[in-house]
Amino acid sequence: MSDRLRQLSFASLIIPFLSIAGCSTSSVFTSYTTIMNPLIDGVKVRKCDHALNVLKKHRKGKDKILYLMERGRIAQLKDDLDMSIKDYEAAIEAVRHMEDKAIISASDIGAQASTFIMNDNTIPYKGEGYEKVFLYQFQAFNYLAKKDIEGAGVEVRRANLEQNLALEMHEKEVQKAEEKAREKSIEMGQAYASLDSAYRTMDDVAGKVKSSFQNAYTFYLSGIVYELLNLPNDAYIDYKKALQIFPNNTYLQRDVLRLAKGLGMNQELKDYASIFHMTRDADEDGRGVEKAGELIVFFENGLAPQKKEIKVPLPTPYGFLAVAFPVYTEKWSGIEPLSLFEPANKSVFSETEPLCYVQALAVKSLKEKIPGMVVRHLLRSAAKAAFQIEARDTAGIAGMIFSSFYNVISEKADLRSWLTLPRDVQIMRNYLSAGIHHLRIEHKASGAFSDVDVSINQDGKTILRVIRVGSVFYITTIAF
Amino acid sequence: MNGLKKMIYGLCFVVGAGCATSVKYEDATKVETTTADFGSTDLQQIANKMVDSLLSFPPIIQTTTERSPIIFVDTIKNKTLEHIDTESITDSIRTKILRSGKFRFVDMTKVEAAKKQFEFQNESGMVNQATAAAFGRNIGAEYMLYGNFASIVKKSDNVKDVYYKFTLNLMKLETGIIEWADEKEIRKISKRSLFGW
Repeated sequence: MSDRLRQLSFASLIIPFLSIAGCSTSSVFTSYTTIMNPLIDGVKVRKCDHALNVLKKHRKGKDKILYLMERGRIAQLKDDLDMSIKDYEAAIEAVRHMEDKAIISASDIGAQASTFIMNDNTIPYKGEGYEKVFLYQFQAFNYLAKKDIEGAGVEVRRANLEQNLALEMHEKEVQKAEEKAREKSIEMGQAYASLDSAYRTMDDVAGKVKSSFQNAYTFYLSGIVYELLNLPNDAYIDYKKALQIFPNNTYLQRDVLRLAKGLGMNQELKDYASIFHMTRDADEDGRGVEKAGELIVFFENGLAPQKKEIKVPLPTPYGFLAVAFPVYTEKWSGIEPLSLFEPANKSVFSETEPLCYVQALAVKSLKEKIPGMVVRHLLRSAAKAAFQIEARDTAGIAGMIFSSFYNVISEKADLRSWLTLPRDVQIMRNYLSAGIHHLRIEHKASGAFSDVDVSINQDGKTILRVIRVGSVFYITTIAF
Repeated sequence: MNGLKKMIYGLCFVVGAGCATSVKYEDATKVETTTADFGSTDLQQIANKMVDSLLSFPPIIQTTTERSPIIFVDTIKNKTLEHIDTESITDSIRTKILRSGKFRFVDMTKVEAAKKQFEFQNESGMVNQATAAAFGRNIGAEYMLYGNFASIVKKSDNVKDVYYKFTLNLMKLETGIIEWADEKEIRKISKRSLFGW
C-alpha cells in the first residue's frame, strides 16, 4: 500500500468520527441514562415542564420512539392529555414506519455498519416488546381519561395484537440470534465465560416472569374497557389471560369467577371455584354493599430499572479488548403494596396486589438479546483492534494514541430503555356505596401518602390510577 | 476540472428536484392504496354497497313505493384496531339514501341545537310568533339504522393481512324486527418491499 493510500484509509477511519462528533447530544457518546436522569429528578418533585421541553428537541432524531414514549408518559403524569396523545401517536407512527420499512433497507445497513466503528447506540431505537405493549396501553388510558371508551378499545386491541405478534415472532428471533452465535461458537465460548459472572445476577430477577413481554396489566385494562363497552364475554377472555400470567392475584380470581357466573360458563365456574375456594361470594358481585359501584385502583409503583455499563474483556485476533456491555444490577426487592383507608368510617379496604413486574420484563428482555449483542461486539472489537494497528503503522505514535483514545470513548454500552415506566404494577378492586368517598392512600415502603376524593356512581366503575415517582403520587380518577 | 464542476451541478440539480413539494388534484374516487389502513376507497366501497343493497331489497322497494319512511341513524360500533370516524361512514350512507328520495332522516345529534332554536323562537319574545316553528310537530322516526365495524389483523415479518367487516342493520322501531341487513367485507394485504431506504 502506498503512503498516499495509507493516509487516505486512515482519514476514512477518522471521517466517521468527525461526522458523529456533531451528535454529541444524542446517546452515541453521552449515555442515555445521563441525559434522562436529571429530567427524572425533576419529575420526582412535580417539575415536569423542564423535562417536556428538553425531550421536545429529541422528537426527530433516530431515537425518537424512545424520547416520544418518555415525553408522552411525562405529559400524562402532568395531566396534559392532548400532548400525551400526540406524543404517543407519533411514537406509534414511528414504530409502524420502522416495521413497514423495506426488508433490506439502506439506512438500516448504514446503522448496522456504523456499529462496527462506533457502538450499539448508533442503531436507531426500535422499542422493546414490553415497551410497545405499554405504549398502546398508556394511550388507552388517555382515551379513557377523555371518556372515549371506544377509542380506548382501539388501543387495548392494538396492545393485545402486539402481545400476540410478539409471542409468534419472539421464538423465531431468539432462535435466529442463537444460531448466529453458534456459528462463532469458539469465540463465543470465551466471551460467554467472561460475561457469565456479570449476567448471573440478572437471573434471579428474570426468573420472575415467563416471557419478556406478556403483560397481565394490559389484559386487565382491556377487560375493564370491554366491561365498560358492555361486552362481558370479551372481558372474560382477557381476565382469564391475565389470570394465566398472575394466578395468585385474588382480585383477578374474583373477576374471573364473577364473569364465569354471569355468562353461565358452568363447567369453567366449577373448575375455577375449586381452585380459588378462598374467594368469597360477596366479594365477587358486591352483594354486601347497597347501591354499589366499583372502585378499581391501578398502582404504578416506582421507576423501571436502569441499565449500567460493565467492561468485559473479549478476544480479538489481536488480543483481548475491553468491551462495554449493558447490564441490570438492581436486585429484586419484595412487593410494596399500597394501602387504602376511608378515615371517616375508620375502614381499611385492603391492599393492592401485584399484576405486572416491569423490572423482570426489562431484565428478561435484555437477557434474550445477549447472543446477538456478543456477535456484534466480536465483529466490532476485531475492527477496532485492526484500526489500532493500522493507525500505528500509518501515523506512528500519534495515530496510536488517537486510535486508543477513540476506542475508549467510542466504547459505550447501549443503555437505552424506557425509564419512566413503573417498576411494577399492582391492582385493587372493591365495591363501595355510591357517592363521594374521602380516601387516604399510603405507601409504607416509600413513605408517600395522599388524600383523594373519589366519586362512585351506582352500578358504575371508577378508575383510580396512582403513579408513584420517588415519594410523589400522581393521581387520576375517572368515573364511569 | 470542468467535468467535476458539471458533475457537482448535476448532483445539485438531482438533489434539489427531489425536495420540491408537488401538489396536484386527483379524482376523489380513485383507488387509494398508500397503506393497508382504512382509507377513502374503503369508505366509498362500504357506502356504495350498503346503499345499493338497501334500495334494491324487494320488501324495502315495496315499502318505499308510496311513501318515504323516516330513519334515524344510531352509531356504528368501532371494533377495529384503528381510530376510524364511523360517523363519516354513516354520513356518506345517509346522504346517498336521502338523495335517492326513498327515505327521509331525522338527526338525533342535532336535537339539542334545534331545541335551543325552538326556545329562542317561542320564548325569547324576539321572534314574530306567526313565523315561529311550533313545538310538538317533529315527526317520529320509523326505522333505526345501526351497525358494527370489526377487523381482524394478521401480521408476519413481511406481510400484513387486514380483514374488515362492516355490518349494517335497519330495524323497525315499533316491532323491533330487523327489516334489512347486509355486510361488506374488505381484505387487504400489504407486503414489505425488498429494497428501500
